[in-house]
Amino acid sequence: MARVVAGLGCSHAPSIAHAYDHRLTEDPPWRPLFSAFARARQWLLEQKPDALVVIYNDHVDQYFFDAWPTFTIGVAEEYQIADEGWGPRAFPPVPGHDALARHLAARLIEDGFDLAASQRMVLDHGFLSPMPLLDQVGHEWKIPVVPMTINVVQPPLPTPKRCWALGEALARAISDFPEDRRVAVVGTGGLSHQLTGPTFGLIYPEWDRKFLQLLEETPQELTSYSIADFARLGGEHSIEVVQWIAMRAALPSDAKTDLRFYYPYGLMGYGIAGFRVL
Amino acid sequence: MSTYEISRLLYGLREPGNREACRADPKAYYRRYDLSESELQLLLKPDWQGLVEAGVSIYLLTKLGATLNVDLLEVGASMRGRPREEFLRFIKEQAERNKKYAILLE
Repeated sequence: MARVVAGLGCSHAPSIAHAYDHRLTEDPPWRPLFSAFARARQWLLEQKPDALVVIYNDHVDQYFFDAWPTFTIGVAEEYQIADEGWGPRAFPPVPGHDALARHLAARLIEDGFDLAASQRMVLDHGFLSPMPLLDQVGHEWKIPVVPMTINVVQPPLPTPKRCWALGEALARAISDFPEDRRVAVVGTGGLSHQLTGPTFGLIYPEWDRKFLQLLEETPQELTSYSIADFARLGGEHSIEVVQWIAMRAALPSDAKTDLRFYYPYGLMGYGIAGFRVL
Repeated sequence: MSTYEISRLLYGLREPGNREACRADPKAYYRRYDLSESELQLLLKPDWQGLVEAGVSIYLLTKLGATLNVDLLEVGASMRGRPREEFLRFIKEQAERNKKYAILLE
């Protein structure tokens, strides 16, 4: 049987992709972030995952307002790289773990989560800004993935409570997979950022630190917050933290915090948290 | 007013050919879509904050920025209604002020 061995929450942002592609990773302002990702990659590899379930959000690159799915799961053999306006980033297609994905899709539906299955999913920076830093060696993808998305763009958005329930259902579905596999769950988004209006660029570090603390110590408490609460506390675009909440819910409550990183810089609070299942 | 049509226009900028057409003649490109006069004016300026207030997603505006070669810092300064230099100074001072909250992992 498969089991969840680890969980990792991290930020995603076009700025991370830009710094990586322009070889700024050793520049003093960016170095703290990229050395933390290097540590996170080393740690993740030590957990020996056979597959990564990556929960992220699309930024109008795959989905559109004609019909925006609340929750999706990719069930493809591989995933192409999105063109977000600057041309697709120079990565090979990302290999999918389609057997695990099809199993998860079926089990989640049986378990009451009516999510949409995607056979074609282009991956934008929500997935692709952190994942090369966590998985790639040289220029090759190492670990097959199952991408999942949570809608944070077209209202009505799912509640944090529902995102938590998704993570719990995901853990049950993983544990039912008949092959002996080690699975790590990644949730990407946030932390604080505001990308519109007169407070454009404002970061909320005190809230970010509190969020990370809640995630570590009393994660289920985060289900008492609303999307509007997150928008007020961390800026309108920080509501992406629901991806971290789903990730954390896929882990047992006594999962051990191995990694903790926070770096408020530029337009956002960058965070990484790694949890090992005991 | 629905922003569906203007969103559809911006969504189309994921295609390189559409970006080229938009750069070559923005007005002609925008007129391919069924926009109101006020939407057309917002795009022609472009009035970034006006577009947000009309209901357009920032995740679509970044595609317009990529097409017109306007970076996110420029968009941010414009939304704040401040010069770029002033916005960059704010970002720099904010980073300095927030250093005490960092938890680094070397």
